[in-house]
Amino acid sequence: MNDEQVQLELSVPAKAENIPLVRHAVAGFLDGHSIGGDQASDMLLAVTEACTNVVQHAYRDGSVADAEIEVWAELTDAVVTITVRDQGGGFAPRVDSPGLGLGLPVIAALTTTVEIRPTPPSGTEVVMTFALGA
Amino acid sequence: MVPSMSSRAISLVRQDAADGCVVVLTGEHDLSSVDELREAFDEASSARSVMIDLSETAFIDSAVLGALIASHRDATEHGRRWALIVGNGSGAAVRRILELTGLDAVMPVYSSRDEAAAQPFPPEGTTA
Repeated sequence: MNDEQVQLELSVPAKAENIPLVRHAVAGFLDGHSIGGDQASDMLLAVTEACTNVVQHAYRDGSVADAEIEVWAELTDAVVTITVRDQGGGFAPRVDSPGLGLGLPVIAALTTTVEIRPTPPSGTEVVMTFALGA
Repeated sequence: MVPSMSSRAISLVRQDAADGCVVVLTGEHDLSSVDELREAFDEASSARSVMIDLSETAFIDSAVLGALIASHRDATEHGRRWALIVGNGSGAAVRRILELTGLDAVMPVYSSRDEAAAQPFPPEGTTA
């Protein structure tokens, strides 16, 4: 990794009103790497869906006082990796999901690879990669 | 580049002569505006013809799709005409999520309000 490479690291309260903030921060990161057009649009849609999952599902039991969405983005070897992480109780499905459960399938369709894994002792991270030019 | 959040707006345009209502979404919409969207769609549902105009919409996500699907279902159940407008000014994410989910094939999508307005109304009393 080039030390001068611009990376993004962001942590915001897990509230719906902060989802556009995260999306715009990632847009700025991508813009800084001259990544635009449909490819950037796909990444912004995917990161939005991942953040929505956190707000909707991760902290529903209310046991975490400072519920946050953590986001990292980096560009390495023509692959953008965006990680969205929470410290909550996992993505348990809910019948009243406003996104109708479409979020994860949409993420899967937009990414080159996606991994969803628990982060012991609590939380989940969604690691999304996007191969540039793919 | 993504337009600024300040461009976000939801407006209702009444077309009294046609007993219609157009809900125009401007800018970016996601979970943070979905409650307002649902309220606007509910308000529009008093008209016999409802159009949701996304031709100035930069961004929507699956939370917004959920609200659109609910509005479409409600209109169908109550025999109202319902149309989604996706035009040249619609953002790439708008087209992308409709295409990825296949909803562009199951919901009536038109490229302009005029095109949508030319479609026939469902027969009186039609319910799903």
